Amino acid sequence: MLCEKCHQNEALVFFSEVKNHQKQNHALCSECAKACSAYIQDPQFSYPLSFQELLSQLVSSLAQHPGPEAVQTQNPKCDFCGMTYHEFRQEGRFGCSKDYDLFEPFLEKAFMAIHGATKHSGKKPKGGDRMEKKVEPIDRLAKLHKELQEAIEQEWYEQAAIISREIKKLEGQQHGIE
Amino acid sequence: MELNKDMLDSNWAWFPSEGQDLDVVISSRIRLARNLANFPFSSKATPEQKENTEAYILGNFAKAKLFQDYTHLNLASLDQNEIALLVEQHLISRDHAQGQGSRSVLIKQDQTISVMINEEDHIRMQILGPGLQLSNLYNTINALDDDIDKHVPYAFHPKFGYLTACPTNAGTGLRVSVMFHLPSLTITKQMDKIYQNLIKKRLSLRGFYGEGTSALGDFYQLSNQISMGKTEAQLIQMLEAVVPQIMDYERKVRENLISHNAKSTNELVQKAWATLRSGESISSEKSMCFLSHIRLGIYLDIIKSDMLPLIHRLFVLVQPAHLQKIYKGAFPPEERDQLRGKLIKKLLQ
Ligand SMILES: [Zn+2]
Ligand SMILES: [Zn+2]
Repeated sequence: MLCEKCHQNEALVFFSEVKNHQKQNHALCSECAKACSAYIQDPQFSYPLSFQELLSQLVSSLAQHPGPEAVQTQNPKCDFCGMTYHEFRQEGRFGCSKDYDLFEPFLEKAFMAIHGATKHSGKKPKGGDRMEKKVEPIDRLAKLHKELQEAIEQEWYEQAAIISREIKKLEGQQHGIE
Repeated sequence: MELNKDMLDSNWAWFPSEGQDLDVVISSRIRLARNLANFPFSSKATPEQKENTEAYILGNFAKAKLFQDYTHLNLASLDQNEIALLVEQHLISRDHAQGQGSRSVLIKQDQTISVMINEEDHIRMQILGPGLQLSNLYNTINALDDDIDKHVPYAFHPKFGYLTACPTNAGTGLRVSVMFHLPSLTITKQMDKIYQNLIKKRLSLRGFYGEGTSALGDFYQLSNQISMGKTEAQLIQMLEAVVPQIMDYERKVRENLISHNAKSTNELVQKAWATLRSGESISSEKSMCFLSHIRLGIYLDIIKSDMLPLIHRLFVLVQPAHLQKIYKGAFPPEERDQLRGKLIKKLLQ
């Protein structure tokens, strides 16, 4: 999901703002968030987070076992159906097929608990050729997520930043495909 | 009171009166859950979006000349009893009946296949057939799925498979079920033991009739609990591996009832028979229970075997919506119980 302001970077900061009695949801990249007054005034965030803090938030949410704090601050919201991760957790239902991509970092654990597996191994739609093309980047994504986690654990923050940029780029491409 | 005679002679493919292993296994069912890639799922769809989804699906079916020999029923324009009838005939789910907004069902002429549109998932197709025939039914519904796939873009993920509203259905979107009649295991309180065993195998057992966990008429539905990580064939095999064990278990306990508990078993069946023939007011739960004991009595040679088709029909007809359809009206529960007693007496004579 792209930043709503610059439409360039992947959105990392999700928050809401009440304007004219209406709740508005926002998704910004870390750069635009720093410059956004509504974000700064949001009672949940008394001041904008540093890039380092944002990165660690991102990472903990990408990790397979996100801590409760990470999930609380990192609550991705689907730009297509409006489903947020919190809501998904509460209701146990996806709002649309795009949520699977959006919540993917959280899903492995859930699917392992439900199915004892995290990967489909059955029938594919006959329109499979166009679907197959997505396999490569997604598998690459999974690999990058792993590398990112490792880098953080080793405290190689510079490398982590590079990998995280690569992830954002790849995810951006995937949204482009759709 | 005037009766709706057509209803009394109905037959249902999933409730056969002859077939292999019919003493224990009644029917098989396969369900596939599918969604469209570019429409929100029902829970997140506005009434207008639901309308659009349904129109899109039905429009594409029509263009592709699919389902031309099916009956299309728009649930929003059906009265409550007609919807309840579809539930009692296992043509739609209870969730679909209680849903809101644009939703419908396509039903094949012989009622073996039904396709729900805008249930929890955009498309849910199911096939029901007599006896144990999972692979056979799967082949038929799989071909139908292929046909739909050619004309509707399915939501599919290279890693997670077919995407469904509920994570418990993702992957294959497949639910395979076998319906059993297990009166002996129920009477002798063996069901808990079976539940425990099945959970370990990631299979589930639920009542086939009614809501909640109680199994009306001692009819149970064995299903796969998982839908991801195994192929469709493997999921079918998981069930097929367990079916003979459950059949043997029920049969052994039946033998035991006759050889060691002949007197009390005989009394149980006779009491059911006498009560149902008395015409006294009776709830659908109670009547299902007594019908179950009579069905058991047929296989234990206590009741004549030519009663089987009628007993099967009664299992369906004593349900509230069927009863109201037969007596052409809407009645409060107490009145239904009286009518039910009268109907059973009349048909058992
Ligand atoms: Zn931005
Ligand atoms: Zn969504």
